[in-house]
Amino acid sequence: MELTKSRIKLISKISNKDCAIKGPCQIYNEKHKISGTEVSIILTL
Amino acid sequence: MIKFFMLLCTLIFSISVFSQQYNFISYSIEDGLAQSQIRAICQDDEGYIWIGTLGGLSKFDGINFQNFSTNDGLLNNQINAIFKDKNGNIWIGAQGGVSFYDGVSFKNFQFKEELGQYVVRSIAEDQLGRIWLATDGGGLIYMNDTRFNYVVLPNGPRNNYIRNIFVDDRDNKWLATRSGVSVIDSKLNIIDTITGVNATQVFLDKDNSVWCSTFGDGVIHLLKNECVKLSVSNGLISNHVRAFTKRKDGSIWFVSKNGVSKYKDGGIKNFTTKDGLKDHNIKAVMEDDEGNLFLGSDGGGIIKFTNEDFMSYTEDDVIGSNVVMSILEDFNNNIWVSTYGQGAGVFTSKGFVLLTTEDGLGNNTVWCSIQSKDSTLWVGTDNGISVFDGSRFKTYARKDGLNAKKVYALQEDSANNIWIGTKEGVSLLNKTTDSIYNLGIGRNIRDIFIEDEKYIWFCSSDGLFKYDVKTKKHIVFTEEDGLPSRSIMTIVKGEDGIFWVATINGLARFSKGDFSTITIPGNYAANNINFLELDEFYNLWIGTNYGLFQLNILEKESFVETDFIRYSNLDGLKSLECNQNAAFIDSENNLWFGTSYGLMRHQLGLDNATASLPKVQITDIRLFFEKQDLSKYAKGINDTTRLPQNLTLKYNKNHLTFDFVGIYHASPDKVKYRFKLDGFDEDWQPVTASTFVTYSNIPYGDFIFQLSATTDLKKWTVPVQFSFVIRPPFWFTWWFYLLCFVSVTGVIWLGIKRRNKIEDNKRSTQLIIDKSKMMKLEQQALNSSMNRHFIFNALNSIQYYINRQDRISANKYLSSFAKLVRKNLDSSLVNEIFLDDEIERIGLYLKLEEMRFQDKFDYQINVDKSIEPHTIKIPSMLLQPFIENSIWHGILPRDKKGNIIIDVTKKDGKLIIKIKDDALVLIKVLKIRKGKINIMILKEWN
Repeated sequence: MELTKSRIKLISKISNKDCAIKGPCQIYNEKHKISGTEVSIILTL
Repeated sequence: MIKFFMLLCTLIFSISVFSQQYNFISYSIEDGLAQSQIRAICQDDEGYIWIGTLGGLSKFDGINFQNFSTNDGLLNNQINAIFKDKNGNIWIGAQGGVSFYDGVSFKNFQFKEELGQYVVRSIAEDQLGRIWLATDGGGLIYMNDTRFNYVVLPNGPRNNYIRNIFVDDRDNKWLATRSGVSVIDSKLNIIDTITGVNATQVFLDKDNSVWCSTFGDGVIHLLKNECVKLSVSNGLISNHVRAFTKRKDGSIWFVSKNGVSKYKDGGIKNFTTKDGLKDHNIKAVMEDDEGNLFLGSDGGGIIKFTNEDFMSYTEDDVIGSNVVMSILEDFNNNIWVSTYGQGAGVFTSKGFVLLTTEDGLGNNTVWCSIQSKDSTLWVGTDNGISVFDGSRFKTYARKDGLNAKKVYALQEDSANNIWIGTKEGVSLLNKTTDSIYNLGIGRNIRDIFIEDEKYIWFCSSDGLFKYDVKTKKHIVFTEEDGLPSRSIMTIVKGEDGIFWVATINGLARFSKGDFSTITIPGNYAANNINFLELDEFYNLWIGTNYGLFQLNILEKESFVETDFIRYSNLDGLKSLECNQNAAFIDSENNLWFGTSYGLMRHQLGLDNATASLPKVQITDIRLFFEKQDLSKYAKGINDTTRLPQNLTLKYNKNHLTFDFVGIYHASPDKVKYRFKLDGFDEDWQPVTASTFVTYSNIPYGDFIFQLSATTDLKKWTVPVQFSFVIRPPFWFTWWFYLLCFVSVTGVIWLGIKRRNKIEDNKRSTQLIIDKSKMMKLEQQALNSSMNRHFIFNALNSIQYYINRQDRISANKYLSSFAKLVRKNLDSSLVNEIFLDDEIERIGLYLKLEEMRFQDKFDYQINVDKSIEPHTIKIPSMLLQPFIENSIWHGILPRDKKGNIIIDVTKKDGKLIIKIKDDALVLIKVLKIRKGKINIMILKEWN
């Protein structure tokens, strides 16, 4: 995980593009109970 | 007694027959003239008088002479003729040729060798612009450009001895020769007009009459029907007339060895040394533009005669003394003159009759004089009062009760009493009782004024006393009352009732009980007033120690410098110092006044306003006080002004001196100047008599120097101008500004470029570092993707399938594992891979993990239809750690089967890869923002 985050950082720096990792964060259902986790990797094209 | 009888008999004659000196002003070598023997005079367009002498050529501006000789390029120093042509050039005639002066240099033209001995006597210009030369034996010569044409007159050598040439309006050349007068027309036909005379000059008058001066026959005036001859027999000063000129006033002045004759309206008046001429041996005559007469003498220099306004009488004439203290006109209109030390006298037909102590006068120093109503003459002397009753003198002295010896002032009142001003005060002579009473009023009583028989004013050194006749009381006015000095010389009263008081420190005006001081322009000597006279033209005549001043007082209360007109030596005064109360206006409006060197007479009422303005010009421009060739900074020299044209100087050549002159020969000392430098001065600078001005530290810019001159401070000449430019220093030029701009811009550009380069270097270095890091991380990612546990587990799984004899699964697992290994190794070689490769690689990984952990989880990889995975590049081996994290920390710890969903979408130009699972894990989220990177850091709860 930390490795990937460092890579994302460097990619953002080298390519001067916004890149981000969002998560992992918890997903809640309609009853506001934890239904899972989610990680988002956002890359600027 | 016989003398008195003779005196009485002769008093009826006019004084005009007596010798008197006119305003002839002479200039000679001492004044700067080249030589004292004058042969020719001419005036140029600029007003300079050119004087040809036997020792060089002089140029005269009214004050200074500039001399020229052969050293300056003249053909000969003995000059016999000068002429100004229509172009303003000066021609100088000498032996063997002529010199031509164009304002800069001389150019000489010499006759052919056989005529080299002959002298040019006269020069003229015909209507074609040709120069004609009259020679004394070589005949007539005219010039075509620079070539001489020789004309020999018939009838022998006397006819070729030509003294004068005159060109008339019809282009005829009138020649005055030893044989008479000949005329040459434009076709060179020669006609003898006057024969048998030794002609010296010829002139055709406006009425077509001919004037001809001769040697031996006086002057011939050839009219239409008669010939009039002027000679010694009818008053001409000599029959040997050398030259003549007709003046603007119509008079003709003839000059000779014996003096000058003025012919006007049929009458002749002669002038010799007795009339003020320094030398009566006159050779040349000329009237200038202003109407001044210039006489060239043969040894006495040049003589200027301005006008007949001022005439003088000195001890050399008749009056026996130069110091006249009092003037009086008696009832028979005879002029009596009292002198300092030589007695008193009167002009008679037989001479000036002088009365002295030998004739019974109390003393020969006579201070004042009056004539009482009974025609008795009263004079105040250094020893009492002397009274002449027609037959004898009677003297009242101290023994008769007078309070002092010296008597300075006398007046007679309506009761026929004689008021006496003495050194010690005021005395009163009662003629009825023949007794003297002394009043204790003042000292040094210089003048007495009787006002309407009510008051008597006494001018003393102790103040101005006002004596009330009725009450016999007096009051005194001094400085405390507003007088400029308590030392009073005289007082006069105008018709308007205003008193004018002369003091030794200025003039005072007394009106309505108040004194106001009027300062006379000049210096302290101008305010030391010795007499006042008020004429019928409302002019106050003020005699000072600095000349005579005229002040018109009509309806004026205050006065400025320009209201005063000053007369000095250059106007004919014999001395600037006027004598105490020695002034008188006679019945013919002559102002008589005494100076320290002679008696002066001035005709009042003449229009003596300035006839013409000075001719002003800028003569030179000096740089740093030195004469320099400024033409190298200019576009040539102006032909007219001889000044540089379009002068342009560097910024550090900004110290200029302008030399100028205002030529006014009538009275050169009256010329004043004003100037201003447009671009530097806001207004005209104060009036000055200086003939130069220096401007230093002139800033850069365009300038016009303007100069104007005046003689009366009222009328000014049209300004003459000189334009020049001071260039700015290079640091104020546009190109320097441009250079600075370019330089600064260049420096900034270089700085920026350097900084960018440094930044680029830093960036490159950082990039290398980052890439190095990246490679290291990628290596680590590879290691992570292919870590020993994963490989060990994958190989165990394969082993498991082999041991179970599940060859299909083993092959399938091994095939997928091999593909994954190959993909990982391929991905490790590049930074980025296409999205479809990454999805394929993740798919292989998930497939392997799904096979290994059977029924533990399902997975989905969803790629949005709008995405073309084979065209989008993403960092390699990016997703596996997150999926691995979901499997190992989210799915495997659970008892039931889990799901892993990978959604790949695109929104707002961004690729979003979401890895979702249904694991129930508690996590803590920290948010850090740094630069453009937004990272969510996850920490495990346990």
